[in-house]
Amino acid sequence: MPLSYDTSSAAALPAATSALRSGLPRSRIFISNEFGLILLIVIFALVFGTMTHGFTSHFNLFTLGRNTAVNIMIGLSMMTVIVTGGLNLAVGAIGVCAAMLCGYALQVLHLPWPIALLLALALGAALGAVNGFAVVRTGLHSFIITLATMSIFYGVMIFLTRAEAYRNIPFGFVHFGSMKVLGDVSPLLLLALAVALALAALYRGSVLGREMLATGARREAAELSGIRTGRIITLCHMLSGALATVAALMLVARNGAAIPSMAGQLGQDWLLPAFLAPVLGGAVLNGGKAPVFGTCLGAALVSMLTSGLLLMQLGAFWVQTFLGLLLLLAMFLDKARRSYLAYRNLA
Amino acid sequence: MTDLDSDVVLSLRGVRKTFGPVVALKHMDLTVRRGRVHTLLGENGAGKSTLMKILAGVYTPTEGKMVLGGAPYAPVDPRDASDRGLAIVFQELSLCNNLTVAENILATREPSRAGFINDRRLVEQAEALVRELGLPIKVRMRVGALSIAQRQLVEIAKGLSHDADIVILDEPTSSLSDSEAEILFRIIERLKAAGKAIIYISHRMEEIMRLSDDITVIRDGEYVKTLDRNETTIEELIALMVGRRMDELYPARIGAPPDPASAPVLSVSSLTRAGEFEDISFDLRRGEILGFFGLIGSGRSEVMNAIFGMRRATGTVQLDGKPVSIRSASQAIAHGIGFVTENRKEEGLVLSHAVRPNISMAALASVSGRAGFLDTGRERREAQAEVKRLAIRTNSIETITGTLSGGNQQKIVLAKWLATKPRVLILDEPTRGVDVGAKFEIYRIIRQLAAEGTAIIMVSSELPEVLGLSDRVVILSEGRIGKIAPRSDLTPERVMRFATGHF
Repeated sequence: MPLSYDTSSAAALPAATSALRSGLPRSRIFISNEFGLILLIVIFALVFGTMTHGFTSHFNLFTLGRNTAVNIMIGLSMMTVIVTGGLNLAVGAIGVCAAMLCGYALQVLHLPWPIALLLALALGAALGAVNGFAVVRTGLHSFIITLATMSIFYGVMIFLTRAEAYRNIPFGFVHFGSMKVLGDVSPLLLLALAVALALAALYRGSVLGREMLATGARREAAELSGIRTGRIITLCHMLSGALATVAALMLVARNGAAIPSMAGQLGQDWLLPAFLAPVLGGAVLNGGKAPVFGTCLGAALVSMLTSGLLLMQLGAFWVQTFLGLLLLLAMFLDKARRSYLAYRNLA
Repeated sequence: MTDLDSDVVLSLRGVRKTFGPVVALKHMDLTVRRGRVHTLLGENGAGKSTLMKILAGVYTPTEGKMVLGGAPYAPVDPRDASDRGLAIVFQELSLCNNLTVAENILATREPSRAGFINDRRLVEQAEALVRELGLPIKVRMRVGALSIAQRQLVEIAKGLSHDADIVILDEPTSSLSDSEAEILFRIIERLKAAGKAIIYISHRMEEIMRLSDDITVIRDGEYVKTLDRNETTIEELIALMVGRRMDELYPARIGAPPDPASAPVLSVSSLTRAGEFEDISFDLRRGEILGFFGLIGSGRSEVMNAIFGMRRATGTVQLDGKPVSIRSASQAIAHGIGFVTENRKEEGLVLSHAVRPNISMAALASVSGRAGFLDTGRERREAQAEVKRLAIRTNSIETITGTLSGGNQQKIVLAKWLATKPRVLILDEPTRGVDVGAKFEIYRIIRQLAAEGTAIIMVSSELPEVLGLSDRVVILSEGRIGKIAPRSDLTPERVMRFATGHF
């Protein structure tokens, strides 16, 4: 059961062709992204489980869950903006900036860690708001805006922190990154799933979520229906900023430090998982669709492939190459799937 | 069928098209002769567009024989069809908004040397064509800056820029006003005189009766009958098309018209926006249908946009006697105004979403429960109630809107606004691109709403529709009010005189 209310797989239902009506529900499940992803996850789990040493070890399963948690948050952060038909290239930059503020608040200001977390979330949302405001005000595509703000945010952060890490993170906080619950499960994974559930509820059952989807799918129609689309788009970017912050804070907990380079130069290391998870999950780059569950599965697949390929002793470069190919393949498959649906739809 | 066979340019026998299990076109026969206008008549979904796409080389027929100019015809793609002498003007605009009129008209055939486009010659060629056709369009304008009607004229010019033996026009007048339609009709007469065959698709019975020589009726993907224009009537055609007799296209008013002395619900005075409209003043009463007629460019839609808060304008708008300032769609909705815009696919609906969220889109507040969450059970019930009330033909309320026919889509736009329980409902071209059957149902809905007390403004470029439904008519001419009169004082000729400013 997909958690997004607008499932593109359901788009196959034509109005008046009873011949199709009887045949579709079954095939609908099989061509859905979620089904394909679960299938791939099972296949690769079997492949890695039999072909590598240590894929099913307690340690590997624990780190895999933890990495999946981070990738889910990164993917959802991108998804919330893809919903509007836009992109957020600054997910990594925003996340790192917020995480550095958290580190500063803990190490320099000696604030209690829950307050530091809240400050970081507020900064993440605020930087997202800057993106959203700029997109709405200028009417430029978010690609350009976030490409610019990615460099600006990151550059200012490097200037302010002098590119130095904050390593004085209280144990209470760091403990989340290393503790295990329910066997080998990282609490970070549970947190990621809880956030995903909340987002699913937002898109499926709330007025705001509905307004976000309508704005993303057809802004003019939404505006004329009384939805303040400018505000909605800004809110989507704020949500994206906050989710990117959660991802970065998870890394802080895992590393025990807030490090300026934790998402690579300009935060670019996050871009591949950020696109892969929602695109594999069934998000439409034109907007209007929020496959929360699919994005989680996409993130899980990406994390698993990374872990498995590294265990197979492939170089990190090959993993990147492989993930890049996967992104292309996902786009091709999505295109083929949509033209198939459009074809079945003709009558 | 007494004409000489040498006059036949295109003939189809037993053409059939299926997509997997879906039959889009069951059985089609067609004989098209040179120098004649052959109209295809059928409700939306009858198979006309499939047939067009087969002729255009977009689809290959599953079965059947096609003969063009004495040789078998089996186009592999649109380019092939055009090489064989077919020119097609599509109903869906196929223009690039970011290019100029000239660039669009001569797209893919730009005069060039060594790969560089000769701009001067491009403009000259396009200008010559536009002048020859008598179109009031500047070829250097960007298409995006043109109105929908002007774009339609560009589309026609583009189609006719190929030297073709057969010209197919798919609902060319759907967004033209009467005066622009006249330009098109003159072009068609000239093409006829030049010995071209014209295949014409339209829903407007008046123009079909005026232009056609032969009329072929299609119903449910199947050939029904070909008639000579002089030996048939509108009533017979409609009966053949819908498979039942339709006694009256415009349902009669239910109850007495509103008392002209009663207090108006909506009162607009001196509404002005420089360059678009000036000094627009009128009243609208409970239960009244106020027609708004004007030619393209008269400012009809612009006035409605201003009332709905989508455009700034000076002047005052009063609701129930109280002045209101409406600066956004959400404020307009809060004041009980609904607005069915003319552009259903872009401004009316989210085509990629299901019926249910589309119906509730403008009334989310009314279906929300606690803490900003939707009461989905209630949303479902209300959507279901609207679907039933407006007789929207859809599998379920979870069907994707884009898969429904134009008429049903339009009813969903209506349902969306009815869900907001408006006091004032503005309808801009409520039956554009909708087949006769759905048109009749929409008219009935409008009547019913008025009878329930909704005050309705109906903007339309179809004069019979305006005169058929309105209690009073506001006639706009170049951004000003030419006349406001009760329906009973107006004839089509009088309306046109006021609309063109010649009285």
